Amino acid sequence: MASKISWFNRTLYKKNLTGCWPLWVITSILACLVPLSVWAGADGISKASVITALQVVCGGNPFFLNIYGLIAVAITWRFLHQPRRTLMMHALPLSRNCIFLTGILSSITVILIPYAVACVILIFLSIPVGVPAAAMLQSAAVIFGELLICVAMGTFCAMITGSTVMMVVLYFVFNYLAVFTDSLISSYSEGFLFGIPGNSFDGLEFLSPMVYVGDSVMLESGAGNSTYLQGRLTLAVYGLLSILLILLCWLIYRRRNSESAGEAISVRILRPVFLCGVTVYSALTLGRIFYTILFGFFFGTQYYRLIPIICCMAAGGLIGFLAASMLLKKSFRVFDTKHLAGAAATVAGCIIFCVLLRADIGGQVGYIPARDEVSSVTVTVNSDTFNGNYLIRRGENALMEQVMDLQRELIAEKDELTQPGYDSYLSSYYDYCIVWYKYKLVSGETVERSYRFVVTSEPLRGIMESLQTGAAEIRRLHLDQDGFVLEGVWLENSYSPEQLGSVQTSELLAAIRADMEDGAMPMTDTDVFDLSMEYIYRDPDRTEPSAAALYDNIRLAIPSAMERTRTYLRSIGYDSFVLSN
Amino acid sequence: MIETVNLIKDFGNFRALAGADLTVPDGSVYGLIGPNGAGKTTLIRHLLGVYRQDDGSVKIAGEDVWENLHVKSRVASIPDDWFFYPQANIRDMMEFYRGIYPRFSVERYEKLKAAFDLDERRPIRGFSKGMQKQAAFWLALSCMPDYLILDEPVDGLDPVMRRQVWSLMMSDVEERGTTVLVSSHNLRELEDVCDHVGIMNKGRIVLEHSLSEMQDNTVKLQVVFEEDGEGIVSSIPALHVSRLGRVYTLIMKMSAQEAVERLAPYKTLMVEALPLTLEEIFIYEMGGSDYGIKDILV
Repeated sequence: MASKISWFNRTLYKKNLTGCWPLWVITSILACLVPLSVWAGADGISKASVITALQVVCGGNPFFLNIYGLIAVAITWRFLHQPRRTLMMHALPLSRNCIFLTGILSSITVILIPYAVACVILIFLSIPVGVPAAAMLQSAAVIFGELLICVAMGTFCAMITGSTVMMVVLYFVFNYLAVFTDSLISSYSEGFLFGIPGNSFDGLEFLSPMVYVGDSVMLESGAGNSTYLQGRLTLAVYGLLSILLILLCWLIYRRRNSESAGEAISVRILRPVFLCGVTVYSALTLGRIFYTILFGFFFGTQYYRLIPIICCMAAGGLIGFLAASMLLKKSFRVFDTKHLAGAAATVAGCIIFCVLLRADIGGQVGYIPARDEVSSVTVTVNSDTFNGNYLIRRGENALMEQVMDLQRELIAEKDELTQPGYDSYLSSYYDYCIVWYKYKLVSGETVERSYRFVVTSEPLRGIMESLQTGAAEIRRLHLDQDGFVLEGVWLENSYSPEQLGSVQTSELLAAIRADMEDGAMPMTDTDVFDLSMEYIYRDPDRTEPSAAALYDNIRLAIPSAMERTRTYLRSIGYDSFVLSN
Repeated sequence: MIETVNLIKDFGNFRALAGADLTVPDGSVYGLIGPNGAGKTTLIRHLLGVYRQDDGSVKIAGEDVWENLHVKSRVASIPDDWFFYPQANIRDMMEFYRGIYPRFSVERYEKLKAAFDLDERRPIRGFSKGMQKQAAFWLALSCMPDYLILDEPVDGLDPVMRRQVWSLMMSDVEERGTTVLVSSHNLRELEDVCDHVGIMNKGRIVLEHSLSEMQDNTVKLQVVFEEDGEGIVSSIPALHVSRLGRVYTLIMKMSAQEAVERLAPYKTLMVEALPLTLEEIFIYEMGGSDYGIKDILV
């Protein structure tokens, strides 16, 4: 009998479920292994082991959903991607509202079945030790929230394309595009802008829902066997957005043309977006690959030369443009005058992009924050001759001015340091220097810069040497610095680090200070070391009690010139390989 | 009544339907014929509510078809490539249709079992094309439709089974007043069963009449003139003229009596009016629409 409710059809729901029964039966059997592994574990079943199992499930949920969830959604909507199925489904006396809602519910059901099976077994097994109901409900919230994201994203991809293969591709594109874009932006910034580091700034991760929610939402253990859900707000927001996305899918489906089955992109207004998107990302990705292969080694510098990178990006962009055109047209015949304008626009876009980046319109290359704006700056200097790691906080004007002077001097020598072949020159040089800056501004922003260079010019040498003074090193060890609480000092013995007591710590620090005042400096932050010190401090601009404590871990190698320190260490029985050398 | 008015459908830059006007009276068997690519299947998909028109209207029983469950529940169809679930047997498909079509009759399904000699527990994918078509008919007729829309329905059926399914459909037309619209290239067969015919070309219905009206309005004359007839036939409005010896064959779009009267002023040795088959009407009509048989030798 047909359902009386025009928004749901029981027969279609049943058909959707039975149509992929091997999938959920096999997955359910595999899911049973989770509770059974807890039960069969060395410690047997306990509340703690059940909670650990739930944490594992919550942690691995995005990965599981990206495979199993996506397959379940793809199976539900495959009728949209095969003309014969579309014809049959849309000729039936079922409204699109009914087909859509039934499809969504059957997708959710298919995904939930393995969870339900595992959950029932876990509850059954944990009855003797007490069911951790709160942890289970929190896990259910994580699973259902992430499931909604998977279903919404999968359904959206299914609605905008007429091909199951494209649907899967689009699903992963939408879930990882932001992360990928982030790395591309970093890479191009590094290639065009002197001093801009190539590390990811993670500013776009929120646009990759599954990745972001997976990273932000966790089931954490509290005191005893209690648990709490970290990232509840994030989960709630993305859950809500997923419901809105499902509503958008419903609107798309109501207007979707049956004849679009088999199309690469079935929503007409999204075709130009697809064309532009593929072109832009091909230009950026392939352009970078082509440049590295063809010119990277030739020019011997990490900084792009303008004309070659434009050529490489244009070639990559044209490949992407033609490939996207072929997919949209479902034909290889795209080499015609009609597509010429698009190809020309691609090349023009590449030229404009590169010229704008090279022109540094935002003035990023020469930007050094004003001293008043800076909350703290961490400067790391690495080379054989010069090294140090300075955490300079607001108020330490002289030292902050010194490191800013160094940055100004490096920017002044930009042309010298970015000329072709400079990287090859660096690698052949026995002692080149890397300097990292990380400014934390009062506004909460972070500004990072990095430079690689050989200390050849006199002004540069002067500044570098001034940073190596005893006062600076004592500063580095926070020996006279307010607000830094020494958490502990560990001796790096051959077996395992050994923490010193408070008396020994005071005596050791006195010996180090005496040596440093005599001009004998330790080597800090080396790979091989004798001591490690850990300080706890607080951000001066974060006065609220909930502000997290920060840690500064310093590694010290004690050279032979530091006699007092070495004598003290020997007196307490320490004599490491580093010491004897 | 099935009715489309000024139906327009574009696929990208290609206009598949260019203002198709179709009228199928209730209780009739309507044959939709036309050359390949004329737009018959596209038109049928509009009638089934699968495609949405760009312009014009598609109505069945006076109601718009698009997203109209009431109308769609009264329509059963057999497309040229009927879909069944890959693992399904006829029984499974029956259960599916039963849950979807509110008027599905299990009683009818059981009765029709005798008409179709098929194993209902065997997967449909294992059937031959003709057997799959039989299964489609079995299920479609069990839906108790008021409107039966068929696209190349008897393709692949053996002659006995063709008669069987036509007989079943005709009994439905007679007993239940079912309206049948059938698209086919088998004009001989349509001639036997259809009472109305529509000829479609280039996205339009170019001719639509009852079959008898159509046959009455087009006549084939065989004439022998006393003198040379070349000058005479060129002045007569004929769809087609051919000559074999002294015998002229004229296809004229008028009644037989009218045609004979037209020739009365001329001296003739013989004038004979012959009935036209549907195939002849189609060929000569399409000839007038630039779709004639081309005398090309390769």
